[in-house]
Formats: sequence, structure tokens, C-alpha cells
Amino acid sequence: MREIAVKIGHPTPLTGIITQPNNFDASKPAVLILNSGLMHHIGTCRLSVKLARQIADAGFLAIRFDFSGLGDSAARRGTSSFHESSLAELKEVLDYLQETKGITKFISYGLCSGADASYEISKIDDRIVGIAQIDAYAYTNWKWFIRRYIGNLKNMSAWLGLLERFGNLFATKSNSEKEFYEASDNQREHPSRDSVAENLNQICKRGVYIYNIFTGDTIEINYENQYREVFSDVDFGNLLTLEYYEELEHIITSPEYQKLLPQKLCDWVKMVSDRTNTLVTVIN
Amino acid sequence: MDPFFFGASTQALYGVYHHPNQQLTRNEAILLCPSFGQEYMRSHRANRQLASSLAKQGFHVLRFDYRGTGDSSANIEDVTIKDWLEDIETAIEELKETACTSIVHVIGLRLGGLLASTAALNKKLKIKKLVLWDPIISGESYDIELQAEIKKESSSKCNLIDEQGTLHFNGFPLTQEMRNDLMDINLCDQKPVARKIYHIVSSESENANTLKNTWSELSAYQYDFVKAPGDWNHVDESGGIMLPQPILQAIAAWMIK
Repeated sequence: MREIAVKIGHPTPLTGIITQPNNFDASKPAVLILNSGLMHHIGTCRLSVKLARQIADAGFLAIRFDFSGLGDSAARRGTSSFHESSLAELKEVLDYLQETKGITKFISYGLCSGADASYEISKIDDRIVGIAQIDAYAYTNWKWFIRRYIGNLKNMSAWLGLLERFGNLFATKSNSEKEFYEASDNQREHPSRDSVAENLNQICKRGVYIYNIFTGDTIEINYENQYREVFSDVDFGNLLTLEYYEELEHIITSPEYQKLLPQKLCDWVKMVSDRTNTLVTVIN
Repeated sequence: MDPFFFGASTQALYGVYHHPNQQLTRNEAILLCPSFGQEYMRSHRANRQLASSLAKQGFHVLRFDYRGTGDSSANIEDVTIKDWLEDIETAIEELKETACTSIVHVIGLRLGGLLASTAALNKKLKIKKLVLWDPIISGESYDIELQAEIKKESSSKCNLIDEQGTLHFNGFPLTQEMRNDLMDINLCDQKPVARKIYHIVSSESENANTLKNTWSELSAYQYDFVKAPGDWNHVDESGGIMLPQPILQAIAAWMIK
């Protein structure tokens, strides 16, 4: 395995690190590892670095990079929203890898806003054969409500949380007024469940594999099969892998999960690669 | 900005070189020594901004990651503090060659300050200016600080000291060996050889005053308190980062004096 620092695009390039396996095979999908929030490309608790190296050891090329303005990528001029620019930049990275390495299949991985970007690129680019998301868009259902508020009447923290959320509806929202502190101004806005369902159906029709991991910090999820049930109108077939770790926190500081998640993601990438290669062989 | 890998191929270090402003080019280079753990994550943007600001003033600037951190090679469990001190030396040599200069200054934040000052004791490196930004003043005080943070959540499965003595804090581990090595380092025991030293703090503390009192007799030493956010250990839910502009401006201003 070797790592190469690259600059992609002009005139203000994006900074990325390619982790290339020793026996590089352009027919295998490459894995794009996306920024989460304002964190630079090493990812939460350096998870993206560990993931990239483990993926490369398994024989797949990985790239972790910074969207413009984040990490080691300079800001680009323009009036595009982050949503627009991130998609355009993702496409740039895909094009770059296709042109320079001959890769035509990609898996996109991300946590939080990175999960959102992975979902978004899968809608518009046929080269995406799989998306792996940690804490993707999530929606509640009646089972969620029962489990959270009625299933355990002694769950005072849940009730207090509900009261707090109710109160917040009437509270004046204000941005952080702390000086010299920066939070992402690209606040996550969940699209409607129906629009996500429609898009999921479309990407599933294309045969895109989906791996969703939810942590306990995604309060909209409180049992493992919830996502599938919320999207019961989506024909996932055998494309969806779903996991829920209630004890896991959003930024994955747990030493145990920092070992477990890269391994699971790696195994899933191998599965996607095998199945998409099998499909090509059958078609040929 | 130019990202690149340098050093021995089996121990490659990742760095980002900031080209100097061509109209103001000074024959001087600056190495930024980062902090560690979540502090490193929260200060990454600040370090980048500082580097850009100094490059605009005509300095050649290099930011880099120690082995086992950031994009550099190795796992943290397999490195030692001695490795990190070597990495600082490797980065300094790389910077001298890239910038074609022998005049090098070093800026270290938090643990990076402790390491930078320790590395700078090597007279062969000839560090001219040394900036210590909210430095950890000793490995012992750092260990005490981290253990105090861990105790705040005694039932946590993430912040703990495991059976091997590795201290896990906010997702980043420090092995027992590293903790032991750090115990041997104390800024107050050092006699720095840099020609000028700038000790800048965002909040006044007993540790900062201890160092100030110890080094105040050095003619090279200057202390400065510039009020700014400095809660480097805090991890919030929105992944916020700190950009203490007053500190960045003060450092840049001092460097060009």
C-alpha cells in the first residue's frame, strides 16, 4: 500500500490523499471518503485514515479529500451553496480518478454531512455502485414513538427531552454568539421522507448497494429495522444493509468501535465489489 | 498550499507547505507543531489560517503531522514520544531544504509547544524563534489534566485508562509508554537556547504562571496573555472548531518584529 498526496482541479485544487493497494486493480470499485461537518479529511478520531488503509490492504483504492474551504483545500470563489459545490467537487474527484486511474465504479462513504453527500451523489452519478452512511437522514414512526415515550414510562430523560424539544419550537433560535468559534453553517436539513423514498427507489433500481449504520446519537432511530420499516415503500431487495448501535456516539470515540467499524465497512466493500463484478461477468 | 509526504518511506510524514508571498519573501521558515487528539482536530483550521497568514508575510511555512497522527504513517499505538521529537527534527530539515534557508522558527500549540521546546534544545537545529501557544508545561501536568477529564465521566466506555495503561480520551489514545516518556519532560527544567521565545496564553493559569516565573529571567523570553477561547479539550455535538483570532494575530505580529 502507498499513499500519495494529490491536488485535484483548477485553478483552486482540492487536496486529497490516495491510498493505493499494492496490486491495484482498476476494475474494482474505489472508495471515496468524505468530510464530516468541518472536520478535515482524516475524519473523526482519524477514522477515515484507518478506514482508507484497511480498504487498501483489502485491495481497493481509497481517496480521502477535503471539499473546498475545508481542511487542506483552499476556498473557491463562487456563489454556489455548499450542497451545489460539494456535488460538483465530488464529480470532479470521480472524473479525476476515472481519467488518471481508469476506475469506473465508486463507493461513497460518509458520516453525517458526508452521509448526505454520498446519498446526493448516488442520485445523479451512475458510477456510484454503493453508498455507506453513518447517521444518514432518519425519520421516526409510531413504533419509535412508543419505544421512546410509552414503552418505558420511567424514562424521564426521554420525557424531559420531549418537553425540551416542544419548548424549543417556541424559543427564539439564535446562532452561537461565542466569539472565534466556528460551527458548520451548513446545517443539516432533512428532505421529506417521501422525496427520499422516491430517490431511494431510483437508486435501488440502478442496483446501488446501501449500508446504513445508525448511532445512538441519532435520536430519530431507536431500533435496528426502523429505517427499513419507515421506507417500506422502497424496494431495497438485497441491496440494504442496516445496523444500529445504541451505545455508539456520533463521533465514534469508542476504542472498540474504532476497530469494529473499519472492519465492517471493509467487509461490505468486498461484498459490493464481488456482487458488482459478478453482475458484469454474467452480462458479458 | 502543497500537500506532500516526506521523510523515510517507511515512516512517511504528511505535511502541507505554504509558499511565501513572492513580494515579501523573507529568507526564513516556520514549522508549526500541532497539538494532539481532539485538540488537534479543533485547532486544524486555526493552524492552517496561521500558516496562511505567516506565508502572506513572506515566510516559508510547513504544517505537519507526527507519526501515528493525522495523515502520517503508523498507528499511534506503535509510536513513542522520542519518535515525535525525531519527526520534528525531520520536518525542520525538510523545511530548510524546501525553503533553501537555515533560519527556522517553530510554533507549538499545547502538547506541540512542549515538544517543540524540547526539540529546540538540540543546538544543531539552530531554532531562532520559539513560540509556545498555550503550552503544556509538563507531561505530568498533562496526564493529570487528562485524568481529571476522564474522571468527570467515570462510567464512560470511551474515556478511560485501560488495562495496559493506555489513556483513551475523546477518541485518541496515549499509550502507557508515551505517558511515561512525557513524564520526563518539564519546560521548567529546560534552559531554552532559542534566541527569542514568545509564550502566549489565552487564559491565565497556575501552570502558565509557573513557567512565566521560571523563564522570566531569560532575556529572550516574552510572555503575553491574549484573552481568547482556549477550551481545547471540549468536544461539542456540532463539531465546532476554534479560531482564536486574537491569538493568531498576536503570533503573526510577533513573528515579523
